[in-house]
Amino acid sequence: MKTFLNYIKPRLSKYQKHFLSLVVALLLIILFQLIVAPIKKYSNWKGEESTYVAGESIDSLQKLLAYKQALLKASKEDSIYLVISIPDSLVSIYIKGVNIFSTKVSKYDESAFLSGLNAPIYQKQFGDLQKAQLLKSTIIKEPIKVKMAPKNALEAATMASIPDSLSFEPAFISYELQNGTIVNLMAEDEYFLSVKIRFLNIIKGISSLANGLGHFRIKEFNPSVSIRVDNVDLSSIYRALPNEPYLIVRL
Amino acid sequence: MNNYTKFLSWKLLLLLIIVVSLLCAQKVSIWLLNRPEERNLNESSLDSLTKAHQIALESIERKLQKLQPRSPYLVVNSTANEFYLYNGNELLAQDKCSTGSYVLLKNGDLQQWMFKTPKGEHRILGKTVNPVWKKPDWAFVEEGLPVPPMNHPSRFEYGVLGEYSLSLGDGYLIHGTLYQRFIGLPVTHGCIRLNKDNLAIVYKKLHVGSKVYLF
Repeated sequence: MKTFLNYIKPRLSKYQKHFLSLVVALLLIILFQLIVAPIKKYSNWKGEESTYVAGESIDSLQKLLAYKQALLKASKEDSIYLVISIPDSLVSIYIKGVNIFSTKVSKYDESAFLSGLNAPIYQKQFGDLQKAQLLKSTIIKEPIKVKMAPKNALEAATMASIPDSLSFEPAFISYELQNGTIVNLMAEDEYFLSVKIRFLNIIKGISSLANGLGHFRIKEFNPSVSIRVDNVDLSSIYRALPNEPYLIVRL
Repeated sequence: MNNYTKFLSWKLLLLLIIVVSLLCAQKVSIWLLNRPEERNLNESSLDSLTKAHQIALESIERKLQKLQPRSPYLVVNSTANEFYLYNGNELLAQDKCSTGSYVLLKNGDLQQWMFKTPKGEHRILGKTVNPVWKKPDWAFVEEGLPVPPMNHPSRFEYGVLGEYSLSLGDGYLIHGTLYQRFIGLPVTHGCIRLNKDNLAIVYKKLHVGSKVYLF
């Protein structure tokens, strides 16, 4: 590095030196942001003191218990809620504790941050109901068609039409849980959609970074889970859920 | 190597270092966070903890099991226009049905009706053989006809609902149809239409009080 600086210093003008220093400083700040963001999230998730004592062998048992506890809590809710169980490869909707519809997960991907979570933190974060906020959806919730009442029987006869067969747009739905986890649900075999979503995620990451830099604070880190299921099933699930559904995730 | 090439190679190297460090920074940070923690639990406390978790799990399982319907129940998917008839975990029947069209019928600015199937948990409130359809106001408005008084004979239609109907309340029914070719399409005014055979099975299996889940 010293050789590099000795070599480059005489070749740079005063302004170029300033610019280079600025670039290096910015790079260091960005690196700091990237490194610290997951640590900050981890410490937020961990909380002050964990009430659970965990051992390596009972981690899976503790995670299963967290999932069942969340299911029991959700059964007291009136609305339809979404349950994602990765070990069972199922995405389901429930109402009052009754599983009314399930579909198989064909592909699944999660942030390394989530896969390495220990059971006590997992239980804190996923052992409870999470209210989800819709971030994006490529399909509409209610396909409402407005029809004006005909003035007479003759006009009604001309308005009569044979209904279209069912057609489903490629679905992509993204929810953000209260704890900041992003849950992406998308139609299987939609590779263009997948590329588009990756691109959007990169843009979102950059904007979050810029936002953090602009406000002199650590950027928000959002671990994510991405799941692919059948397109028609995904549309059915999305339309069944209320606008801000409860979500239970078992990883 | 001339000076220019040297300068360029340094630049490239720097750029590479920047890109790699940006890509790896977060991954390294996460990797460090995810390293397994030291646990100081002896075998007996581990056993008692495992036992406590198992007991809690069994208790929750029992509570969850109690929530399952004891008698046959119907689930209707209004997006795919399909129904599933269950008895416990056993699927008794699954086929196409028709549900609400999501048409919003507007009669000027004063009246409007939304033809959608209501989502959520419902119960069968009544069962009828050879039901008669008492046409509501919207049925006349939709046909461009004047709305008759409440019990006018023109309100009553015979045979259009099939051989049976099961009431879900608020005027919503599970019934048959004359237009069998539209089964599987979202064409109803909120009711659930089944074909003749499926209607007979559902009528036979579901009782007053049986649960119907619409989503």
